[in-house]
Amino acid sequence: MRRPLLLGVVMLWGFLLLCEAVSALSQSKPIVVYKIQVQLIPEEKAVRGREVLSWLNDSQVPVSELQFHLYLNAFKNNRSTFMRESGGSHRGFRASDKTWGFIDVNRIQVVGGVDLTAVMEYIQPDDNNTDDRTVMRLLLPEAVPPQGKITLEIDFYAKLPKVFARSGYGGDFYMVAQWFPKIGVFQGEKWNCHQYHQESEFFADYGVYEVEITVPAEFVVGATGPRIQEIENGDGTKTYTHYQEDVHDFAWTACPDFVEFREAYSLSDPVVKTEMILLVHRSHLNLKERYLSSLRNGLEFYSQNYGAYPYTTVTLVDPPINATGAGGMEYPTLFTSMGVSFIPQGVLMPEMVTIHEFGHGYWYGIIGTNEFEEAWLDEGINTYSEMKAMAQYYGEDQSLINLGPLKISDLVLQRSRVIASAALDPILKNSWEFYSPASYSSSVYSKAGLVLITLENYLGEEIMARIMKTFYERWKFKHPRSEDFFTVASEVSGQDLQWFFDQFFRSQGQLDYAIRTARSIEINPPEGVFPERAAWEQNLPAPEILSPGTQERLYKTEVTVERKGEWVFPQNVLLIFANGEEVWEHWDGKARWKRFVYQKPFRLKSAHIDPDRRIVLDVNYLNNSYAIKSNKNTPRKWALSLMLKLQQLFSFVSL
Amino acid sequence: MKIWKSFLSGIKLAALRRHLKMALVLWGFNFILGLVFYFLAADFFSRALGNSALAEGLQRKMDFNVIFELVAHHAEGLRTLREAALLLMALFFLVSVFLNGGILHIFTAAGREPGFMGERGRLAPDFFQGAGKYFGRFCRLCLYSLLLWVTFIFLFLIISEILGSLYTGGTNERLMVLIFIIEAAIALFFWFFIKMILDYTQIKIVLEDSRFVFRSFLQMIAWVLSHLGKTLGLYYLLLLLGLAWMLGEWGWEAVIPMSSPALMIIFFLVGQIFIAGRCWLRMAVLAGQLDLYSSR
Repeated sequence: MRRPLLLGVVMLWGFLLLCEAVSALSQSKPIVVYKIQVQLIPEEKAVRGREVLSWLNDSQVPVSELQFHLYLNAFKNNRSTFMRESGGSHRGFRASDKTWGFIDVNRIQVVGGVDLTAVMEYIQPDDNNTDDRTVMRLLLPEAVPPQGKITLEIDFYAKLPKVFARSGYGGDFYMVAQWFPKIGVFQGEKWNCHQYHQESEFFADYGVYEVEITVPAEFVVGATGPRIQEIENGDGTKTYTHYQEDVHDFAWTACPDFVEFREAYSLSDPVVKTEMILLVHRSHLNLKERYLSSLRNGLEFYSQNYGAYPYTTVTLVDPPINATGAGGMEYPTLFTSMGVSFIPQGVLMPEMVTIHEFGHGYWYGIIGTNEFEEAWLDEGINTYSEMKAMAQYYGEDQSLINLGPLKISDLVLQRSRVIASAALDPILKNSWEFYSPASYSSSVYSKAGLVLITLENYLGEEIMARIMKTFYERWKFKHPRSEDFFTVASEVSGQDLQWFFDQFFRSQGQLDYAIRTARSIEINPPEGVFPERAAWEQNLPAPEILSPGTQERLYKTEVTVERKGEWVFPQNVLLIFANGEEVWEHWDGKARWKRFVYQKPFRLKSAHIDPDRRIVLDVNYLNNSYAIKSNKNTPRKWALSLMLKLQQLFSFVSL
Repeated sequence: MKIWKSFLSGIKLAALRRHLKMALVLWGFNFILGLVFYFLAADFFSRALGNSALAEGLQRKMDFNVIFELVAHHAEGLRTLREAALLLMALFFLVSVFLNGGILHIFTAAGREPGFMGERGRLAPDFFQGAGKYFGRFCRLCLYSLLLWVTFIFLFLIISEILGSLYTGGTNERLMVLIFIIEAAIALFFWFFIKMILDYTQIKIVLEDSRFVFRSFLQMIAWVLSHLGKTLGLYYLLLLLGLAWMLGEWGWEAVIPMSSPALMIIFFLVGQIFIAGRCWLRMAVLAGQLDLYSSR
């Protein structure tokens, strides 16, 4: 792409002004400043861009090489690490043949200095797969000193794949994400710049993005941050400029079939003023109100529970059905939701995806965790938040499905994924090292979410709320690690919770407590010849309190509780006797079993462990209780229903 | 008019008191095989729920936590149940092949010798004699019908491919839903159409006491195609009756909560009445078609 020299000079000048202006208003320390000009080329399904990047060496050591993510190269061929791991399939969506995506860096040069294009090389820090070109290394002629800056100018061409995993196109719809050479994070005196894997998302430094997006005039565009300029170019294209501070990525979308809706959102406590921008595909206009209302709910819930939404815009993108692989993904101040026009009102999938992905604006966007290495920190915390928000706005029992008598909550769904998983991995693990995609998602999303619900039920809602708020306040616009969350939790709760986190995050296992046996046996009055009690026995309690000849009945009740899983958690045990008397016991849950013994004039009716289901991590609720008289009607009822269904089928299949 | 005549005549013939016994036989087999499944399922659920105190609550309200636990922790038992259901369905299919012979034998005999039942007084010997007589021929018919099934599946796939190409890669979700409905309608049409052809082939075999099953099969395909309006008209009229019956059945199931043993018994009894009604309707379908074919 040829550009007039003047344009280049003006751009650089503007960029220098931008760097200067990256103001004290920023809430994060801006490590990167990007100014990018990019043009969509629909006929090539590609974008061409020029990026000017200023990078600050915020470490204590000189840095002699830079590392960049070139994520789109994951779709370059079938030998990339992503394609090898995924087999060309992601979350149920398959790659189309011959619609490869890639990014070529055509020129990279120190501004006002040497051209480094020739020294670019690809590295594979995670798996040594030399076919993978998703990480680029650049050896610098001169090291960047501590607190020094380097400014680079990069020309690139990015061919988008047909979307099946977040980025790409579907017809006229473009989700332009992970699309530009993005510098890694220099952390702990080394680069943290992982390859693009099947099961991992992203990690980058905070900074400032100013991006000029040129598209054919008929395209409707949405992007990270507010639009600060819109120019008709007179050649059938328009250029939109977006600017955002305190973010660590930039994504944009374009489609002629988007219908844009804008609505101001404000909240008084805490003070929030932002603009909700909905880009709803023409085929989904009936979902507009559902998206809007769930986005409002998300803004309210996250602002009130964690901290005021700090950005001036939030953009919801609704991909069309031929680009569903782009759906359900988060980017700073912009996210993609998911829905189809014929989804029933009672199936709250668009609401759940909207709240979840909006929530990532906090847990990923504002709390910039490393999704490669500790995915639970954003996915788990966000799943926990999503479950609470869904329950608050759509009802505890029906927060996911509410179709007449069929009601399923988000919590039940997340738990179903945990109980069905084989517990092969701990939650805390590099994303690409999990046993399988199912193990990854059940661990870092569902199990981590349930762990936090369990923690909340253990500590109390009020303490948990303080933990979350403190963690958010302390680490916003920074890069916390798991240990930082654990520290905040222990500190705020005033308890040493290391045992909790070590167990649930660092070890693989399951939590399953059961009532193993429960019985009440009538004690017969003593009969026969009993010796006189010796003097030393006089102070001991009588072995049985019934005296000979009594008419009173007495029952010996024994209840044995058992720890069936590897994980240990303190338990409350409830015993209900035939007269309605309730006895509560507490068990530290450490031993493999414990027996509770009583002598009472009534039989036991039932025994329950964790009767309030506070420990949602327990994988088997059925064995959490034991009724002395088992209920036979439910098996009969279910069997009758199935029998009738089968009889109806008989008449359908008969000759 | 001919359709109406056959429709009413079929219902009348199936409703004759002596013929109701055949519906009872059909229902009886349906019930026995269903009962086998009931015991298997009840045993499975009894063992899965064990002495859990949750079982009592589950009688009144569904708890999806438990449902997902059953799926996760009792997959083996559920698989066994599924396999048992498939096996029982296959068995019932064979039973229906057997009983159809008896039903048609009685219907055609009644047509030929209107007084034959009155003279002999007992239905069972003739019924089972007819069932045994035509069982082998109907089994062969089932095998030959595979040709028709395969042809229609192939045809369906082609239609589906053509319809699918109308929206593949597009964003018109209304069209997608419409095409799905059309595909489902086509699949159902094929399903019932083949069953109708098989009904007429059975009727022809019994009516003419033909041993040439394959020839009858081909002849009836041709006959049905040449009388498409009448055959389909009658079939769908009878299907409408069946649909109304099924709606009543579903409505009933939705109304009765089975939350107490008494309600369970009522549910069971009324459910069986509906199943018996389905069996009778099946006879009415055969009788109506027999009338239409006989009056050709």
